[in-house]
Amino acid sequence: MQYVVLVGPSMQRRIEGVVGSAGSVVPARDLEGLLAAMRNQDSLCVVIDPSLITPADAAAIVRQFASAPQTIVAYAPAVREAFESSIILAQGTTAQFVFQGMPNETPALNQALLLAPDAHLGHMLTTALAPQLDALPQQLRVTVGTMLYSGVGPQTADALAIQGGIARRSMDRAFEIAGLESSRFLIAAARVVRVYRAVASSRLPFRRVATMAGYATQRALDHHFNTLLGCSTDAIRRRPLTLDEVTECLVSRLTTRQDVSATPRTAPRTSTSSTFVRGAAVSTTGNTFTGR
Amino acid sequence: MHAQSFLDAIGSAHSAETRTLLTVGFGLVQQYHAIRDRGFDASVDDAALAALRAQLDTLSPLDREVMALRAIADALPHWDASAASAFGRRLVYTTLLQYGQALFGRAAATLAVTVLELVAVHAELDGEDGLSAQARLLCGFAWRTLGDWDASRQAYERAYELSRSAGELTIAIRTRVGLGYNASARGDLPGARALLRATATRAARLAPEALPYVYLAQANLESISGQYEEAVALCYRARQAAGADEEMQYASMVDLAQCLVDYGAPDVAEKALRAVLLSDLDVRHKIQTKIHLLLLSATLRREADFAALRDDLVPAPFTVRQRALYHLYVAQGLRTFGKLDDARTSADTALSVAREHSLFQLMFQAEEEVRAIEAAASRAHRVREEVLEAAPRAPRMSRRLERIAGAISTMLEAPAAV
Repeated sequence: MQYVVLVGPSMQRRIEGVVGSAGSVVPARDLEGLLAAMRNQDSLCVVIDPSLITPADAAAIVRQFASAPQTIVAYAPAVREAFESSIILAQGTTAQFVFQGMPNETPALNQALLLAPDAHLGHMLTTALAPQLDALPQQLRVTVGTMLYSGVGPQTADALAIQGGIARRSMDRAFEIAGLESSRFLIAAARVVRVYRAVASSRLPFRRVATMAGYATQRALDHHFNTLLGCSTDAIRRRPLTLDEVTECLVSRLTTRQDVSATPRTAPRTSTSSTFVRGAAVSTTGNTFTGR
Repeated sequence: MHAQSFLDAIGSAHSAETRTLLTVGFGLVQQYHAIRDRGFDASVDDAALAALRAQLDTLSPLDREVMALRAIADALPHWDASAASAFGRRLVYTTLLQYGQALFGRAAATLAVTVLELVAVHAELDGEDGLSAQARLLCGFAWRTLGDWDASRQAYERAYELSRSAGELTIAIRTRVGLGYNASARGDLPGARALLRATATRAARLAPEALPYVYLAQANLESISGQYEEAVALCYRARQAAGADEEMQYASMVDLAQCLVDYGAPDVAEKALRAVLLSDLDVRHKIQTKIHLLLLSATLRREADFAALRDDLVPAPFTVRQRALYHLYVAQGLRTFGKLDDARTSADTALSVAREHSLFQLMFQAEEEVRAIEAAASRAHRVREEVLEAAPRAPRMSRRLERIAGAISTMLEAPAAV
């Protein structure tokens, strides 16, 4: 994978250290060089220090992103110079932000660079799920949409409900009315979007991919792949699915029915659902049906 | 609760500078509460933030606390920006968290707890479990600094739960490291050793990025137990595990130098610090390293090196803490070389800086130094003799330490390897 970077020398060294042999780091001379790389190359990861670009530059990156989505990582110190551009990038792209000096700086940077999600996959998935997402309340729609697009977001159903500005039960009902599977499936799907590229086309050991993505074990990652894509991580690396196939699998697994205007489903959930919950790293909280 | 903590701190501030810093901090936290309750209103908040920024302009721009406060003032107007993705809120929490960290630099752990708990609670309410876990992790550290073990344990345990649910395994490992430090600080060395050993195994499997933290905690434990060689080896392992993380490389090399001094090999420690200077650190870390070297050159009785470093550091843009530390070490060095009048002047300066900025630990050390200088002056004719007698004698190094010393020498020869 190629990383086109527009950062200072020390940050570049840090990025090179993290990427190692997992990809090549190419410094962009200036913004024009960066935009040209975004235009001409299909699958790359762009790393920007927002404190080095002006708000106008950030707007140009947003325009380029709108026409051809790419994975963007914004790596910056938490200073005023970075804020204006960061806000523009956050509003117009699915950039992941890593702030210097935070306790989680190192793992966050590793995650952002080595698990850089495929922007096309996120785009295709959210486009395919647009009818269902449109049926959700506005804030929840944006939260779920961003989570599925970027692969980054809340890791528990409770956190998703809070960020979606809705009560947990109302959220579950909203998903049901919209014809979407449970919040756990959506969170798991976002994680699959996040790690798919690393699983399919990198040489990173699966255990490393799993722990970087927050799974306690590699088996939990495998479980998600089996449930959502119907094959193991190993099989995917041997024969990667096309993005269309991945999108199709995810959409069919995330939607409960095609007609979103029909009455809410009241039948009990399928056995796959309860099997899926067991052993998954995301199921540590939020199980409200314990009878206590 | 936060208001009372800030008011207490402002009331007991010893200098105008500290008072200004605390007043601005209090003002910004109040402003944050108001904006959180009703959203950002430019017609009201812009003027208030401008007034607080103007006060910050009167302070040293390189001070970490000043930078953190400025960042909060600059982030607050973005609170509602990109409301749907909550980016503005995350930005504000990030800057508040960095302010909490900066407060440690001034030994204001009570205030740090106040700010960090604010972030922890509010971030958790907003579903930002990852940020809340980080805030709780730092709270655990702050409570330990204050000696409240129970609160520290609770903060670490909550941080552990939150980090697990947020998928932040590195933070989860660091909470276990924090509990290990707690146990060793309370004197439960076997318990700490067992916990850290188990944590190291888990870190190797789940979060290799957290390994340097575990090794440094183990090194600290071995150092407390008097196992200096083991401590040196663990620091070196931490340095190797740090990878491209420059901050961690710096921390492990400084700890390595400290352990080497404890072991009785200050010359190797000096090489380690000089190797740190060759790397591309930021100014703050370079100055701190030079301050350590200053003390080391006194320990090694190298008067010329000591004088050169002292002069070299005079125009450095010190933080408040560094300024106090510099004068304290200069005093210790001058006492070692028998220049007691100059030593007394430096110790007095260190004491006044530490007192002015409520740096209590340094204040006690400076007072101790003043007493040592007075004692030395009363028997001035014997000082040099005693100092020479007390000069460290390096023990014979084991093969393992020889290898580490060799690796450090290589770093000095090939700076790229640092």
